[in-house]
Amino acid sequence: MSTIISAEHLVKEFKTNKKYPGLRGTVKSLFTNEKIIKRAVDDVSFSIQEGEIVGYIGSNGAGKSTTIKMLTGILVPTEGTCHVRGIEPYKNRMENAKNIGVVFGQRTQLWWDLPVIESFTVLKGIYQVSDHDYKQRMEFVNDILGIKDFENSAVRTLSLGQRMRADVASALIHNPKVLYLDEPTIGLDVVVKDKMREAIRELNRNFHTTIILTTHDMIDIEELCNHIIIIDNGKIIFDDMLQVLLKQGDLTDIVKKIFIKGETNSDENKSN
Amino acid sequence: MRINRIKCYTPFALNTIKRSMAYKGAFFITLVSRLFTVFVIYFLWKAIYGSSVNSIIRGFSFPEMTAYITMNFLTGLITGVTGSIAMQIAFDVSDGSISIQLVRPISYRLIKFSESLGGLCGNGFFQIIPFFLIFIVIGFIKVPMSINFILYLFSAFLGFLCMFCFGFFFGLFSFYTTYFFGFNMAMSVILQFFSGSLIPLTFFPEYLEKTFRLFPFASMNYTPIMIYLGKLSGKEIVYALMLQIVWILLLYLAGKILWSSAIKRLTILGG
Repeated sequence: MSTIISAEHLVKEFKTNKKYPGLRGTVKSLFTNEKIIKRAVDDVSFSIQEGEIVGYIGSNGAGKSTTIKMLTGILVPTEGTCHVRGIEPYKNRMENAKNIGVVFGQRTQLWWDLPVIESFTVLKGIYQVSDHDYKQRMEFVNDILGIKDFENSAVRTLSLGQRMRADVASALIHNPKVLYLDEPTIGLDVVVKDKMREAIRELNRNFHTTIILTTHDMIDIEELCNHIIIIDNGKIIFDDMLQVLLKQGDLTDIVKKIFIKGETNSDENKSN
Repeated sequence: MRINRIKCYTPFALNTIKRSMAYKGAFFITLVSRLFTVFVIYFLWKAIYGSSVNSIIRGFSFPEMTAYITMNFLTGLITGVTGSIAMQIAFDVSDGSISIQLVRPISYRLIKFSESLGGLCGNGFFQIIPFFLIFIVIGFIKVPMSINFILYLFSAFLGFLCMFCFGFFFGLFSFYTTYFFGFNMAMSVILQFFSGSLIPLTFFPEYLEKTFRLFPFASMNYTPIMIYLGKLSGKEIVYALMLQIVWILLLYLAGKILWSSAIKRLTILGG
C-alpha cells in the first residue's frame, strides 16, 4: 500500500465582518469594520493509503466539508499543504479533477432540466471517456445502483433516493482513483441506504478506489470504513483504524461522548 | 484532441438555448417588452424633433436617430446577452453551485463563455434576425450597404467579446462581497450611460465624447452602431476596431489576474 492522500498542517481561515444583533446592531455593523477570523480547519495532518475507505467524522461545522473542498482543489488552504496522488489540488485544479470523483450529498451536480442519461453523456465528454470504457462503466454502475429505470427522466422529477444514486453514478463515469462522498446517505430511506453502501463496497473491491466518506450515520461507518478520522472544531482528535475505536465500546456512544467533550471544551475556551 | 476539448463545452451552449426556451411565457413577454421600449423611445425622439427648429440635432436627422435607436436595440441583443454574466457568476457563488463546476477538469471561464455563446446563437435566430427584418419592413432602418453591414457584424461580435470579458472580470467581485446585486445595478447604469445606450455619445460636448469613446463601454455598443449608420470614415473605423481589440485583450488579462487572486478568497456558501 502506498500513500495516496496526505495533508500536512492544513489550516483554513474564513474572515467575516462582525455583525451585531438587532436593528441598532445592524446600523453599528455598517460603520464598524471589525473582522472575525474563524479557523474552520486548524492544523490538520493525516495520510490515507491507496484502497482505503476512510470515514471522516465530525459534528456539524467541525470542518469536514472544508477539508474535502481543499482536497478537491476548490478551496485554497490558508496555511499548510496537501497532496493527492502527488498533486497539490488547489495549484493544479484541472489536473487533479481528472482523477477524482466528488459527490456533495446536499446538492446535485447533474443538469437539473436534462434527462439523467444526457447528463452522463455530457460528463463523458468532459472527462473524455472512450465509448468502450463508457459502456463498461455504465454496465457496472447499473449493476450496483440500478439507474436504468429512471435514466430518461429529467433530474428535477427524480426522488431524492434516485437523484442521489444518479449523482454517485455520475461521479464514477471516469473511473476516478479517489472518490469523495460528502454525506452520500443524507435523507435516504433504509433500502436505498443499503444499496448505496453495497455500491460503495463493490466499487472499492473491484477497482481499488480510495474513498473518503463524511457522514453522520454511524452504521455507514461501521459497515464501510476501515480507517477513521474524527475532527472537532477544526482539529483532528482521532486518527486510527476502526477496530481501535470499537474496542472502546459502542461506536455511537463513543462518538457522542467525543462530540460532547469537544463542545464543553470549546465553551470553556470561549469563556476564557 | 483539440476538437474534443471544444466538444466538451458545447453542451453548456446548447443547454442555455434550451433553457431560454423552456419558459415560453417569459420568452415572449421579454420579446414584447423589449420591442415596446424601442417604440417608446421612438416617439420620445419624434416629439423632440417635432418641437425643434433644426431638422438635424448633433449630426443626427430624425431617420438617422430612428435607425440609431433600432440598431441600439439590436446590438444590445448581440452584445448585451452577456450583460448578465456578472450576475450569473454572483448566483453561482451565492448558492455555492460554483463548487460543482470547480471539481471538474474544465475551465470555469470557458463554461461561462460557452453559455454566453449559446445565448447569442439563440438570440440570433429567435430575436435578432426576425426583428431585423421587421424593422426593415416598417422602415425604421434601411437595407444597409454591404461593406458597412459586414463591418458592423464583425464589430458587434467584438463588442460581444468585450462585454463578456468585462462581465467576467466584474462578476469576480462577487467573490469578495456577498451582496453583489447592488454593485450590478450601479454598473448597469454606468454601462447604459457610457455605451451610448441612453443617448448617442455625440450629444455630449466634443471633449467628453472623445473621452467616452476611449472607454471600454463605447466598444461594447456605440462603435458597431456608428459603423452601421456609416457615421465613421474608413480611417476611423480601423481605429475603432483596433480599440475594441485592445479592450478585449486588456479586460481578458484583467479577468485572468483577478481570477487567480479571487479563487483564493472563495468561500463556498451553503455547506
